Parts: sequence; C-alpha cells; structure tokens
Amino acid sequence: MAYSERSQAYREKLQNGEYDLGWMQVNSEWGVRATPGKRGLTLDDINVGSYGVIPKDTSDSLSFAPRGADFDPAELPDMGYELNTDAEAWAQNMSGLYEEAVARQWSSTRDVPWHTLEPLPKDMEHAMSQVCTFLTEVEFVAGDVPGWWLNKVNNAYHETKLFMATQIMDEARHLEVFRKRALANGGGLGKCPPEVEEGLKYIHDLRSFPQMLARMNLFGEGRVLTLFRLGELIAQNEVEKTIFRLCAQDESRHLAFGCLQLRYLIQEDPDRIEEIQEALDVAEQRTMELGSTPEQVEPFLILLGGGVEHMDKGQEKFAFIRKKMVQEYLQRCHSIGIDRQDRCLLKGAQDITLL
Amino acid sequence: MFTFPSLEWFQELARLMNEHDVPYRRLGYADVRWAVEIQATEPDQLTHLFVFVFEEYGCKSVQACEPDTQPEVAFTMRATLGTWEEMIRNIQKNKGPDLQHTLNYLTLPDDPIYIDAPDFLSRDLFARYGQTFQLFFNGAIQVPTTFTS
Repeated sequence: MAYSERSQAYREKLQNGEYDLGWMQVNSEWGVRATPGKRGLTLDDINVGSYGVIPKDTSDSLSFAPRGADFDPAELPDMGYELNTDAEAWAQNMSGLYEEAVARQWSSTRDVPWHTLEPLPKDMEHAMSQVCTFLTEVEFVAGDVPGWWLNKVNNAYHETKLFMATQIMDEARHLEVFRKRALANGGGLGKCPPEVEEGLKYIHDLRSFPQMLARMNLFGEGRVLTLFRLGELIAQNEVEKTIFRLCAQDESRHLAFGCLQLRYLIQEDPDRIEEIQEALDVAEQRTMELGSTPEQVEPFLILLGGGVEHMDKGQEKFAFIRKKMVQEYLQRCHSIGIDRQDRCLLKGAQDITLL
Repeated sequence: MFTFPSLEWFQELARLMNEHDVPYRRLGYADVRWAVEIQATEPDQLTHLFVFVFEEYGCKSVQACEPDTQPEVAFTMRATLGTWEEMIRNIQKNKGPDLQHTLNYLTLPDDPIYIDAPDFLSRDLFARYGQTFQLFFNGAIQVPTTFTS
C-alpha cells in the first residue's frame, strides 16, 4: 500500500471513530528502565540491552530511524549516509566525550573578564589582533568541516554525531571569542594571507573521513592545542589568558575525538593506515610550503619577545614551540598506532625521542 | 597548620574542593585518576607520591603511595620538592599563580613539571581538565602551610 493510501485509509477509520493502536505492537525492546547515575541520565546510562548494541555495519539502513527502533529499512528513505560502519564512525568513549563537552561549555560573553582589558602598546595590539584574525579563520574551517561530515554519519552512531555537534558549537564559540578580542581593545581584524586560506581549503576539500580526522583533528587541532597552551605565554592580560586556557580544554577534547576514532579504525581495519599516512604526508607538505608567512610568524615573535624590538627573543621561544608541536604530533600518531617518525617531513622530526 | 608535602596537606585541598564546588561546577565535571610526585633532591628529603581520584566536581579520594610503585593513573605530574614549593608559595602569595607559576606554564616545556603518562592520549587529559587542576591547586591559598625544606 502506498504511503498516501495508508494515510487516507486511516483518516477514514478515524472519521468512523475507530483507532488502530497497531503501533503498540512494537518489535523493539520494551520495559527498559535506564537508571540515572549521580550526574543524571547520561548517554552511557541509556545504552542498555539492545539499545546499547553498536552495529558493525549499517549500510542497509540509511534512514533517520534511531538505533533500536522498530523499522524496516527497505520502507524508509535512503539519506545517502556514507559512514556506515563502526570502524569508520564510532569509537569507545564517544558518549563520555559528548557528555563532557556538554558539561564543560562556557560563554565568551560571560566567562571572559572583558571589563579588565587595558590598552596595549600598538605593536602588541597589532600582533594580538593578527593572531586573533588567523585563529578566527582556523576556527571557521574547524566548524565548517565537521558540519559537512555530520550528515554523512549513519544515525546508528548517534554518539559520534552528537559529539560532532558539540565540536561545531565549540568552534563557533572560539571564532566568536577571537573576533571579540580583536575588536575589543583598540585594534581590529588583521590580514588574511592566501597561504593560510589555501592550507585551510585543503582540509575543507578532503572527501575521506579518516583523512579529514587525520588532517584536522590529529594534525591541525594538535598544533592548535599547543598554540593555545602557548597562549598563556603570549597573553598580555587576564582576558587573553582566560581565552586561551578555556579554548585549550575544548581543543584537547576535539583532539581526543579524532585520535580515538582513528585508533579504532586502525584496530578494526589496518589496511586504512596508508590512507591516513597519505593525508598526513600532504598536511606536513602543506605546512612546510605554506606555514611560514610574516602574518603567521611575526605576531607570535612580537608577543613572545615583548615587542617589535625584542623579536629575536621571541624567535627562540617560537622555535621551541614548533619543536614541541612536532614532538606531540608524533607521540599522538604513535599512540593511535601509526608509525610516523621516519616518514615525517617536518623539521626536526627525525631527532625527536618518543616517550 | 598543614605540612607540605604530606597526605594531610593534599586531603585539605580535596576537602576544600568538595566543600566549595561551585567554581568546579562552572568548569564542568572531570573524571580522572591522576598522581603527583614530589621528588627528593637532597639526601635528607623523601620522595612522595599521591594518587587522586576526581569524579564529577570533587575529589573522591587522595592516597599516599610508595614512591617506587606504578599506580594506575592517566598521568603523573612529576617535579622536585623545590618546584612544588615554589609554585605553592607563589599561589599563596599572589592569591593565585602569577603567569610564571601556572600549571600550564610549568608543564609546557616538560620542565620543571613533567607530565608522565603511559599513553599520550591519557596525557592529554591534563590539558582537557587543565583549569580544574589549576583550581584545585589554587586551593592552597586557603591552606595554612609549613614547608619541610
């Protein structure tokens, strides 16, 4: 019976004062009573019985129907989801990461002591404004990319989708807070060089989910996390310290998401390692080609050194931070099951001792 | 008065966290088992190891362990007694750490505080809950302390 005919038949039934109630004969697990824990009812708490069984492959079921519901996939629309296996779209602890993201949200309007901002020397304000402009661009792509992938993830893996939604929200708050900082203290937005934009476009254009996770979450967010932790060193006031500290916590969560997903994929399907390695090859190559422009480097030298006259001092600290980024990146690759050191193109990679 | 380092000193930090949880609630919960190692640098000093269990917005337990044990923790913050003392004195003096004495600053170059972890992803938990750990140590402002060295 066509859908419209079924609907028409039911309307007639209703007009005759009859009810159907056939939907109560539901072929899903009934009598479930998920028990809330101390902090309320979490996603893990409701993963009980059949509802907590994560399917290995859902490529025959591409509708909006939620995991555990009673439905016939053949009767439902095909939404064209592309990530339909647990290896690609799920990992341990996704629900925990989601709950943590929800619990650790903050507000750029409320939680940053904006009223304490005081004018900075012009060179320092220029530098901070340029850094904020750069980070705003970065945060745009960090939100746009998971946004693009969100509707590729099969709904059976709702924990992953939910976490990605929090990541989009986090990145929205980050671009909001960096834009606010650029406009709050007598400066303004700075330059957007084509090298930065080209580097970011590459992430945007990736059409393999693991490659995107490798490029953006593992490689990119890892570098940004180091930058945010460095932020405390370049911060000139409590406003900037607060911004960088809070953003670092979020970024660390995004990094964990990418790393946990890639680690699980590698465990389940080791043949995908080369695909990930290739994305990292290009990421490193792009960083070597595009990552050194005056707009990207000099503001950090000014802020680290303490002014235009002390950029030399900043160079030393900046070199340390670059080395730290490479070291942490290689450590994370190692941790998720990728041996990257011998293949890494980044400066100094071969000299690093993995912990 | 509480002596640093001692189990009682850290238990007092934990008590403060548990009894004044509003700022921790603002930051969001942190579920993590972690440790602090206070390394002796002089012959008359002892190395101390304390294991903490953070759950939700509080510290569920603090335990002293033998220094040569390997507790099951996400990571251990390792530093010399002198480093810990300086950090705590700074927090107490300034009613919060100055820029050179935050946990982030002291750990970023891996020296003077080193974050030791069995796995690099568990090491990242230090950054993920960074402000919760900082708030925990900021509790030292409220702890009348005598230092052993």
